[in-house]
Amino acid sequence: MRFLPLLVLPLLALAEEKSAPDTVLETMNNELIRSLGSLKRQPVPPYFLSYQLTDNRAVSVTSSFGALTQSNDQRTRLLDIDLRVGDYKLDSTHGGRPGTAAAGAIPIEDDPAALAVSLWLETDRQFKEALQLYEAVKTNQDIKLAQEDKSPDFSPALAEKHLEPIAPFSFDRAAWEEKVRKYGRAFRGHPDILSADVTAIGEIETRRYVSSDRAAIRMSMPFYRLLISASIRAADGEVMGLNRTFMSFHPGGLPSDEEVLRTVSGMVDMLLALQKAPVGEPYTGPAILSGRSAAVFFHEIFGHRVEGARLKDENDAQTFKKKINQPVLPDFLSVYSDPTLQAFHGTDLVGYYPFDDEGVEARRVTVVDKGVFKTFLMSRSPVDGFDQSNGHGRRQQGFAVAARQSNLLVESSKTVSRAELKKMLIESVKAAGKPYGLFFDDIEGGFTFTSRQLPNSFSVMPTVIYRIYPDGREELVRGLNLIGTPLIAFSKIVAADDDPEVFNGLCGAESGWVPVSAVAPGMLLAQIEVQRKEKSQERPPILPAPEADARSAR
Amino acid sequence: MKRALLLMFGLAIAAFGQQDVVVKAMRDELARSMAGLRMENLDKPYFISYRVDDADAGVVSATLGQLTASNFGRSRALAVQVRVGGYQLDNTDFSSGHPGLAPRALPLDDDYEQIRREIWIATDAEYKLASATLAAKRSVLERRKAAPALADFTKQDPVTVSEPAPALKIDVPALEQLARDVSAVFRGSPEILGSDAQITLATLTTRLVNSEGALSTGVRTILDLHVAARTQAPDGSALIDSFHVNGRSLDVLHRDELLVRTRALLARLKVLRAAPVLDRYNGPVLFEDEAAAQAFAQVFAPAVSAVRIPMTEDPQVENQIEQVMDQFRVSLADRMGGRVLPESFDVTDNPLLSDFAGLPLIGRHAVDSESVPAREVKLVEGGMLKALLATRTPTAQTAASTGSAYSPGMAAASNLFVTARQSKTAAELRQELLRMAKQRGLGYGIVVRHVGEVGLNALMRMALGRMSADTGSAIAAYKVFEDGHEELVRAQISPLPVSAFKDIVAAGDKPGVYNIGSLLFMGSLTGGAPAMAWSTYIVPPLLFEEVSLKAPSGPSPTAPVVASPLDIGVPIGSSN
Repeated sequence: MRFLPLLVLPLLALAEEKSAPDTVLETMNNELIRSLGSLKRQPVPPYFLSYQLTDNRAVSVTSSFGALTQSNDQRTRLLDIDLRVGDYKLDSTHGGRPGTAAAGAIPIEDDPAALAVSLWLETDRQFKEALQLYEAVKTNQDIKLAQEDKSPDFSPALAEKHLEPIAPFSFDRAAWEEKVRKYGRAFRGHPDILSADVTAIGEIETRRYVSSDRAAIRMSMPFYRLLISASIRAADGEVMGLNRTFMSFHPGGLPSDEEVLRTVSGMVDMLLALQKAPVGEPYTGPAILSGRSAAVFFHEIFGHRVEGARLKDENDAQTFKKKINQPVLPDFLSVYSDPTLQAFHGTDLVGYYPFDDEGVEARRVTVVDKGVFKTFLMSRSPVDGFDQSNGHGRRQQGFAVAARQSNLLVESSKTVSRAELKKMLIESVKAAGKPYGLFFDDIEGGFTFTSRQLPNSFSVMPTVIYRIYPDGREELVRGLNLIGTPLIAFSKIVAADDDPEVFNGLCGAESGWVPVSAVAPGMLLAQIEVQRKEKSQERPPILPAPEADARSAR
Repeated sequence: MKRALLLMFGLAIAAFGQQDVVVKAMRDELARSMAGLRMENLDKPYFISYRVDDADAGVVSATLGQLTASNFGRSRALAVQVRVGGYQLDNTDFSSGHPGLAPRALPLDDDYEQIRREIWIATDAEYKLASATLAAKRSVLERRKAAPALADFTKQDPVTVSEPAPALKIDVPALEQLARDVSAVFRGSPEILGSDAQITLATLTTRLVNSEGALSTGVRTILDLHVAARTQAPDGSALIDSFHVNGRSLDVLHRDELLVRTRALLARLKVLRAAPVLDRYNGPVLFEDEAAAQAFAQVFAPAVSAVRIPMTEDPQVENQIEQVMDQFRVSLADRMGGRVLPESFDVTDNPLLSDFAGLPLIGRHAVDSESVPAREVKLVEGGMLKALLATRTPTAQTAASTGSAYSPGMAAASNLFVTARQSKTAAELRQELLRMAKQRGLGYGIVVRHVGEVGLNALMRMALGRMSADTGSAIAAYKVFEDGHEELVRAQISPLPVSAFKDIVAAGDKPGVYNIGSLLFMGSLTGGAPAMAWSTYIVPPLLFEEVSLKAPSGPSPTAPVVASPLDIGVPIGSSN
């Protein structure tokens, strides 16, 4: 399954090339060559130029408690230009730069003349902007202290050719309107539930990339999502939310009605239970992270620290910069970033891509091997000791590329069953003389500081937490955040289970929102810390909900 | 064609309203909120209004014969107004620093239960905000030891109005093709650096209810076609020109006429590019065609729209706003009863007319956004200012609404008729222009026909200047010489102070009818969001005694380094 697309695609691409020439890609390439040819005669010419054109069609429908609130079908085409003056060592992007988005509207139709004019005008604008930036860069070089990191600003790349056929797309908007209505209605009848939104999105994105490296790439991928979110308010004012996300590359990859309705019914039960659950207390002690929770935890706390670009920033804490070939995790854990993986145990991994946004082929990167740190995720922006991209230069359209995560895989060479992991937790609870341990069943997200000005702590937001008592009894609690510092937290992992789970989501950072996955087994940590969550001071509505009022009047 | 207009006073519910699930949800939640919404020790609401707008809206845009966007969609939005206190003193006309609550999206489905639920949540939030605002306002009043001189809101007898309209069929492919065709006019012109044809279309179904018992429902379509192009003169200065076509239906879009206008825009820009620069001119200027309507739309109409400057925590802020208004002379409110135009001029705002001389008027409406019936307002009679366009927010000059609220508290013109009892033919106007120029020792007079994107209002120009660097760009002006010949020149026109209207020398005998969307910039002065108002101006050519023009200034970006692909013959596709 995993290698199939790579074997099949070149053949398809050849067939595609013969039958229907891609006038858009040709226009991009012609205009790039024409512009560069002319700009080369300038006193300060560009040494690199790339165009990325992203066609997107997104059909999106949303319901609130089963009433349709939004139904759209939108087409966009966005242009990102990377134009650099100077040279690989020092160029106009040194020390950061504004976004790469085109200022004007780009035709969404394929006629060469109109598209060429847009490319021409944007290239001209970016060239003038690059000249100004380059002047400032050179001036800064003269007046500022030498930087610790002496690496160049950009690295060369191969002249990659990769032409995927335009992917088929099927998303029946009317049918999905009915589905989101049906799913959302299942939240009704509970006046205390504050919000209940169901969104289905069918999207197809085709990215074309040409560069002065002579790369010519066309990737085309559909992306289907079902997002369910709901919240409830407890008597003390705390608002608790739950989210469920399903994502797939295939139109049939989203769950059946029965499965979704089961999910919704589980969410309703969990919300009502959370509303009545006691508020947790500040606590330190042993805890289990479910596979899904561990996946989010690793993405947030570990993954963002291995994104290479940040090492160039003198203000970054650079947690792992001097840790090459040193242990950073227990020796039974290895971590890979593998954008070439399309699915894991039947679940699609949305961090998949064949080429990154700088025309570099995606590849599997071993970040941690048996606990020992090996390398960073790299874009074409080198850092000391890492002069080449490993295919992790990613961006949301309009943002400058940065090294980002793709599919983060946490693997354990030593595993126990889930039941065994719980048994181990109870043992360590008893050994530490604690009244209970914690089980984090679900984590919504979190944040971590990586700059030097702030303590490098993290805080993740669990949505479903249980106390596990020595007698094995489980009790739902609410109102807690999981906090700590990364290096200590990683050193406290003592065991992993044999049931890895997948987290698919969108991750926001310097280069915008990109789809990512994380896969991890459940884990036992010898010690974690939780603190009380901040609570809304907002007063609940003065009047009861209209339906509750009507019921009580009857 | 006049549309059926049903206007009834009293409590009877129009047929539209009776069956409408949305109206039922609005009225039921309104009644429940008025009866029960109250926090201990705080005022209860004395007035609540709900407005629900269903929008079927979209945008089609194209450049060089190719679509750049085509998106249509449906939305339904709720705006809630909650007033606590009383008509004399309430939570409004006070700037608390809170930006106010945005309209809330409602379900598109006619789902009674869910719509009521959303209205409930929005009303609750508005009530809490209103209570906090009134408390802050009272404490400011206490600190200033002053009772407010003006009431905050006027009472209004409830009306029930229904303005149905035939359902609009939007043929999206036809609109797309029109945008392609119009924008393709620029394909042969490499000197045009950017061009765009955009059609914005919205059909709004509005439902408005309030606790005084008013109910109005209506359907209206707003259409805006905008064609814009920009180029650079050889000396670098940026030249932008555009035109709008506005209407209440798609009937105003005539392909051939649009192509003619677009080609004229292109020709104008090309000529303007090569035209000499006007060095400096102080003297009589004849405003012909759209320029005369724009002068009234941008300068005069805002000046006769009543504005209440809200009280703020810091009296300095109120003083500053008043100073800005004085400095830019944007209001005529304090000239009530005085002469503001020549004695032969009358100005009337008439929202009840739907067409004039066979042309549709965009400003027609039967009831305004504060549930006040629209009516004809005689603003200027015999040159004397007789009335201001007013809302239910009283000002020193306006005690009652004239039914002119474009949005709550914000007045705007609807269909503004400017007439002169004595007028001159086009030839006579030119003679007069030349006579006056000669008197001043000038060898020529100036005619302006079109002011493009530049704007004639000083305050608006200052506000736009912050958003775009292109506002210094030149307009086309014509030197008219004694032998009758004209010479096109590039010039920058100074803003027109509203006091210049008093010194208009003469008016033409053939008024033009122009639909103009203008930014209600007074709203941004007083803390509100600036809204676009769509109005029709019926204005004859106007000869102003003194207007200043000078050489264009402003940024002069360098020309593109690489030649345009259109210049070197990139194959032109078949979309023409």
